[in-house]
Amino acid sequence: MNKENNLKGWLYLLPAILFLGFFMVYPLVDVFVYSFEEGYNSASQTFFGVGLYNYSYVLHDPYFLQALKNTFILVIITVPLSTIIALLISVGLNSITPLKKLYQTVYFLPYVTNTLAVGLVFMILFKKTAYTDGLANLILAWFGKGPIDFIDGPYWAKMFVLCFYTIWVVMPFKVLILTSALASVNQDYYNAAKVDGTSPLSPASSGPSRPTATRWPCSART
Amino acid sequence: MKVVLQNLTKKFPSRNKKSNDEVIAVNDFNFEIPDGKLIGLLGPSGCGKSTALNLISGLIQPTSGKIFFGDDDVTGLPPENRGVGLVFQSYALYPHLTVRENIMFPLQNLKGAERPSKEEMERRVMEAARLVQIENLMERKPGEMSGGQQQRVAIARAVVKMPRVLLLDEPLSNLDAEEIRRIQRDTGITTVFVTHDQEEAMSISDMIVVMKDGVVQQIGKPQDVYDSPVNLFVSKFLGTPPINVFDGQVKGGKLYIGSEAVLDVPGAADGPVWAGIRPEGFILDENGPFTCDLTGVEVMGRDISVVCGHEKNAGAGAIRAIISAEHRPADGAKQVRFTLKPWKVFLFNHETEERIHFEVK
Repeated sequence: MNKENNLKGWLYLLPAILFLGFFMVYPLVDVFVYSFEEGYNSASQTFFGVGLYNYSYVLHDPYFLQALKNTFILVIITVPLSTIIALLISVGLNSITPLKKLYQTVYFLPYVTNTLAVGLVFMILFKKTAYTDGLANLILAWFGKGPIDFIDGPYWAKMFVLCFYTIWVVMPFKVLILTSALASVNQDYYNAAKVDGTSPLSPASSGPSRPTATRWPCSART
Repeated sequence: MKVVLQNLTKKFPSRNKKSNDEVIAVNDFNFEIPDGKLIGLLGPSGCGKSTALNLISGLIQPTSGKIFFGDDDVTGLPPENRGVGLVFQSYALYPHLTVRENIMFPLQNLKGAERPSKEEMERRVMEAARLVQIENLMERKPGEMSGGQQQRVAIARAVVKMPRVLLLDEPLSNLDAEEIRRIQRDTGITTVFVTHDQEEAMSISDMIVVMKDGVVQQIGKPQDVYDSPVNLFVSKFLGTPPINVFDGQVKGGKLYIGSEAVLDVPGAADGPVWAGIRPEGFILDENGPFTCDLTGVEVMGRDISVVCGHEKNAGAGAIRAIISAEHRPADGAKQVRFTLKPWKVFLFNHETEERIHFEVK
């Protein structure tokens, strides 16, 4: 009985295993093997020898190191920032009743928006053309700040656009996860906290405030 | 602290958006809860008892009516300023805090002069923990405890603030009724609890409130409500096994069930009635006026339950008569005959289902 069940279980898993095996596991292993093959030619599938030359090459490549640095900066900035913003949005969404569904949809839209369209919008925002400096520069000009070339300009201007885009793109997914986490918190916890006398706006001075005390730990499970 | 509920009404908007109907969860609730008593709110699910509890706690605001704690009008006050302790059905213990921290939480949220010193907090937490007998579990997290232990922690958290009123939502699921009674007696706090378990509620409450469809049916001491229900619903709701209900007829001061005149009911007007007879209201009597078809005898030790059928039975199940085990129907008998104890028989109006009184001799 047990054995039969096991077999059935594997059978159900088979499509996923095949798919993941072919497109994830096999290429992963294969790429790892290739990385040691020096002078690999993809057309003829030949190589000269085995060694660590590829690694040495890439670690001495200034472009690669720059990319590594850029990625590191991007992650350091966007991950905490997007999580904090997403959390604020989720708590906001969780607290309102009218138009809740509408706002939830609006915040999820970027997730399903075509990348090409997004690119176009960001171009309008930041790209300098013959006719305009872009919407962002237009707004900057109102405050008397000079036009900044966001696309080919200074390093931090470009980094800003990249961070802005990354945060914007990952936001819906994070909001979705956090909203469902908050929604799964039993209403009784909020009521209990109310009876226990925590105020929604009280800072952490007099013990943990309602959000820190009830919401976060309870939603952490999801 | 006595609690007074005055014309308390709560209406909820209907789920169905197209109609403007309102759901009346609690309708014109009037009750003066005496100081230091244990009150059981009971009724079938959806009868508004939990809503009534939440109205007292302040978690929901009444549509109309007033609530007084002592002489203070607390109707508009939020829960934290009412001085209520509330124990939730789900306990709602904070999972990341230890038992000690959970119990201390309400004290830590007190402000200004009300906020006790660290030592005082510690003392009160231990006092509350001793009251519910969990002083050896203080460093555990709620997840590491049984349901009963969690419920004790929840009660400790509710009483640590010395609330004016203690409210318990379905407290009998994990804790003995006796335990609730003891905790209430030790603290002397006016306590209201909600339950659907009428048997337990009757055994511990000083007074019970029976509700149905948002309307209070009857308020009184458990024994009084049991002995003198005001309507058919209350008579059916209290008592295990439930009361037997027959479709009867009053003619010339006699109660007829089928063609038999089973009881003298002087003072009751002629007409069709529902006749409710408590299971303990039957006396086995060979010459008794009331004949039933015997279907079985269930032995319960001290008593036996005589299970019968009758064409005029209007109850949901078979007719049950509880009689002392010293008497039992003859073996192989197809029918049994009973005499009725008149104080265990209640008549109800056929339409309104209100009680019809008659003289008990």
